[in-house]
Amino acid sequence: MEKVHVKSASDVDLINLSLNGSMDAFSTIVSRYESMIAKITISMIGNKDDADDIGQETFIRFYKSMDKFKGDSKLGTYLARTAINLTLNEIKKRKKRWLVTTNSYENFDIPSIDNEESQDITNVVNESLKKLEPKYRSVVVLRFIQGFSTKETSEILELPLGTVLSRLSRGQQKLKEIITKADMI
Amino acid sequence: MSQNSKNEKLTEILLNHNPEFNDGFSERVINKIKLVSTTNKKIENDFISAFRWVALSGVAAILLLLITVYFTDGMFTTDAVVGLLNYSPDEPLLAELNY
Repeated sequence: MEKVHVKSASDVDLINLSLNGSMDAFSTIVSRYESMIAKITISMIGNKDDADDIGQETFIRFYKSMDKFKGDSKLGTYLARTAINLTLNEIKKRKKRWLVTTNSYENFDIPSIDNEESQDITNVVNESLKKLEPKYRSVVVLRFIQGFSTKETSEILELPLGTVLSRLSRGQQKLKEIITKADMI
Repeated sequence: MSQNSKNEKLTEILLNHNPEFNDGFSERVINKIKLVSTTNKKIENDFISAFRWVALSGVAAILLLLITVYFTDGMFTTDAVVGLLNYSPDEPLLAELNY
């Protein structure tokens, strides 16, 4: 009964139900935003397993601080901000620990691919994105892959609109060069 | 290929980039939340249980002390409890002056 009800409920209603202990309501929030968080984390990190962990952490953090969510921004924007911050922290941590070696954006080789295989395209896009510096990558992922507006992107990253636009242009240019080398365009 | 076509193609590739988590992501999140809640609750219960024993031991020690004071001094005054009942602060001074 509740399951049918929560499926069509608004985000605010789902949050209120979750605060009253309904795990079905929270599960619906997760299902609703899973795809968006997957796009952001996998595109940012490039590794599905690590992205999965960050995705889980995003929702767990939201669950713990749900009572403080005032609804000033859309839930999607809020979750995207959490996910992007977690991925940027993870990238920083990896850099510090020297874990990023051959996969770093400085010295990564992109394989050439067969355009007919979508899985390969996904892999090449992921690997190409990894070659971009995180500051460009985050803007490109939010704006082009997730489809947030430039204004929303600037809100999520807490950056001025002008900075987002210049990073977008630079990121797009760099990504075009990388993808051209991979014979995708 | 012109720059505009390249840009369009790039936008198309990025828009069609739809990586997904492995199946069962939602269940994994819910299970982790339940696990974290259970663990937190267990730690909380353990802490309360440990605190209860410490508190009970403290109360028992205080009671024992009060009973001892009562049987030793026969009364319950602040001086008796803190051990100042038979203490005269002038005595050491007078002894020093007499010497």
